[in-house]
Amino acid sequence: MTKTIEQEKAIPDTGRRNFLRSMVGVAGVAAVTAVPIAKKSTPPQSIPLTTIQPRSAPALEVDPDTDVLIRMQADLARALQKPMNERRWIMVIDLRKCVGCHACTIACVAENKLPPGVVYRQVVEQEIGTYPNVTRRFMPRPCLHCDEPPCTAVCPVNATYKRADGIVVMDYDRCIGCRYCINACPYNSRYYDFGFSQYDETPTENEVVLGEGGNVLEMLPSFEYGQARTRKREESPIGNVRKCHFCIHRIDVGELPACTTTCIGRATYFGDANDPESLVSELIASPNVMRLREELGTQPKVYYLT
Amino acid sequence: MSTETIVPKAQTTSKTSKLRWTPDKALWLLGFAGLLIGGIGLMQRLMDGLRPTDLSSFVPWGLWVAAYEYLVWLEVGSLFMFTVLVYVFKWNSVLPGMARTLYLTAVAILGMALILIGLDLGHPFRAWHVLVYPQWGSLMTWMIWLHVIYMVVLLTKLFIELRPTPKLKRLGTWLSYISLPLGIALVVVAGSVFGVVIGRPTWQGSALPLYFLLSALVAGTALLTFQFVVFYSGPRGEAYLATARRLGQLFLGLLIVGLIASALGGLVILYPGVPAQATALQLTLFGPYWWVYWVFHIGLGVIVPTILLLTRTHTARRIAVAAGLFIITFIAVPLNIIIPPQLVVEVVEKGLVIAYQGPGLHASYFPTLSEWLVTLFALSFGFLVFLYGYNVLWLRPRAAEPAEEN
Repeated sequence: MTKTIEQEKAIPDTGRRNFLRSMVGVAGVAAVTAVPIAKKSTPPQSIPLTTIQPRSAPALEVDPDTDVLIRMQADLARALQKPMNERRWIMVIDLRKCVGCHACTIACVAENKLPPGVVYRQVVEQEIGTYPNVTRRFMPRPCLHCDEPPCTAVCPVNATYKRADGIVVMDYDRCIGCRYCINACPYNSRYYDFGFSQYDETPTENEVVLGEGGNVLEMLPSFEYGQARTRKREESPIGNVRKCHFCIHRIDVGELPACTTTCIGRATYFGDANDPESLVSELIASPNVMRLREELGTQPKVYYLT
Repeated sequence: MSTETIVPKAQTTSKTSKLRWTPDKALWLLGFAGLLIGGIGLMQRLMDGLRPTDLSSFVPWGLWVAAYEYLVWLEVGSLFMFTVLVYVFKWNSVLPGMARTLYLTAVAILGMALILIGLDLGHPFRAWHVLVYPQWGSLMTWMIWLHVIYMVVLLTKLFIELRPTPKLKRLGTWLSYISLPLGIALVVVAGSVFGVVIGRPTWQGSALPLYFLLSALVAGTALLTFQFVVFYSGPRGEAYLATARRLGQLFLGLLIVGLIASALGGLVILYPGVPAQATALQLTLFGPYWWVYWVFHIGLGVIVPTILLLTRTHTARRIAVAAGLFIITFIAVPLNIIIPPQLVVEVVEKGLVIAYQGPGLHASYFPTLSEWLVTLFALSFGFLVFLYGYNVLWLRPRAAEPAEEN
């Protein structure tokens, strides 16, 4: 399937007026002759880039001793030369290097303008042992972008689906906010956007948040999925389920995900597993690699080095 | 509510009676008061989304989803049992007259269910997406479509009851037969919506679809029994009492079967004690809301009705009280099926829950006042629909008539 969302009948504004207009035709007729007339819903294979156009990053010469970020950048540029369906993006997280600084979480919040209550990049914390033999373990856990995602199968409207390159994405304009996918995800990697604001309960004067720079974060558009969305009351993505998308708006323009570039311990790696020369391909070939809950057969694309 | 012999409304209404305070007027007032008070919750829901609720990303489904399942059980179960008894087993000549009131009740319940599940959506005005962009691999799609089809069947049957012609009555009989597999499918699919979820180990498996079916049969029989005893309009003689008693016995039998089935299912989960599964059940039985299960469900919903139904002198009124108690308290069952398995995240993923604090990130749940108010609004709406049908459209039980022939 190579159709884009633009080629499909676009879902226009989904407000009340549209709802009423649509229901006039749909409600009665649909129930009786429901199955035959329903348009077969297929997941769009790409989301329109309204503000950012994908481009191919130039190939880089990499010194073997250079920072892994430079090498991954080169791997990324090489992968972008290939058609989308020939790429297989994966993330590798070295648990031995993670110090639990949460820089990745913060970078993700800043990159995607995440509101309170929405966490794309979790760092699960665990305390092991008893004093004095005690340690803390940190497990960064974004959406695992399963090859067999249990969350996409349950969506009643195909609002969440797997792209050709394996990244599991959301179509905010189609999502009805039923939250079925949240319950279906065995990794608790999906979050509902209740519409909370970073400035809730912050003192205001004349409807302006007090303090220099107040309201700035809220007013900036988020470029998730390459769509410039300014946060507005009860408009998507408020009322939608949200999740990590490996920063596809960055990947598509040749940039690594925000969590990867900001990891102070270089514990997060990202790249194309279909490229045998890539760093991530090397890393997952090591014997100390594992994935979460393998017994479920979900085939996560996030690997851990232990 | 009057259950006397039916007399056309026009004959009973006079200038003086319009001013007189009657139980019916009190009920209308009660309905509108509920609608008005519940309307506060509705306004909050429409203006602030799901923020006034206690839902979170760890417990995304709560009171409204539980209430929806409960109402589906009542709606489908009562009609299923009625259709089976009247059309399949050709039960006595007393029961068929209840058709109009039962269909009316089902429509009222349907209204409540749709309001609650619609308002539970993050984008209620996109509900039509399920009809236009269905993904048939999702059981939720099937549930919604089956419910829409069921709604059409139900409304058609109600229309036929309002404008009965021989031709339409034949159609109504066929629709009754169609409603049997349709109703089973709806209830079983509603259970399967939970059964396929691997993210919540307590839900996953084939048990819930079967429990949902059993729950619909028990709750439906209770509703049918209650309605028959309370609203039956014919002479309340021997045939009436015999029918009430048979319905009561059927209700008790199904109740016992349901109790045994749920006990067995619970033991299978509790005995190995795997935390991901057993914790949910332990929360139900011994958690902070233990009283929902022990007091409401087992005490008032099972033990008291059983005692009422087992005593030798069980009058029709006693049967109605038993059924009514069961119906009211049975909401505890979907609440306990849906909420505790989501709370398990606090035990099995403690590291995640403590790592992040903030709105929408708590692994606990108790419905807020706003959620209760919206529920009150939905129930009041359904109640008013019933009152309108019963008092204005005169959808009251007909006097005894034989079951319709095929």
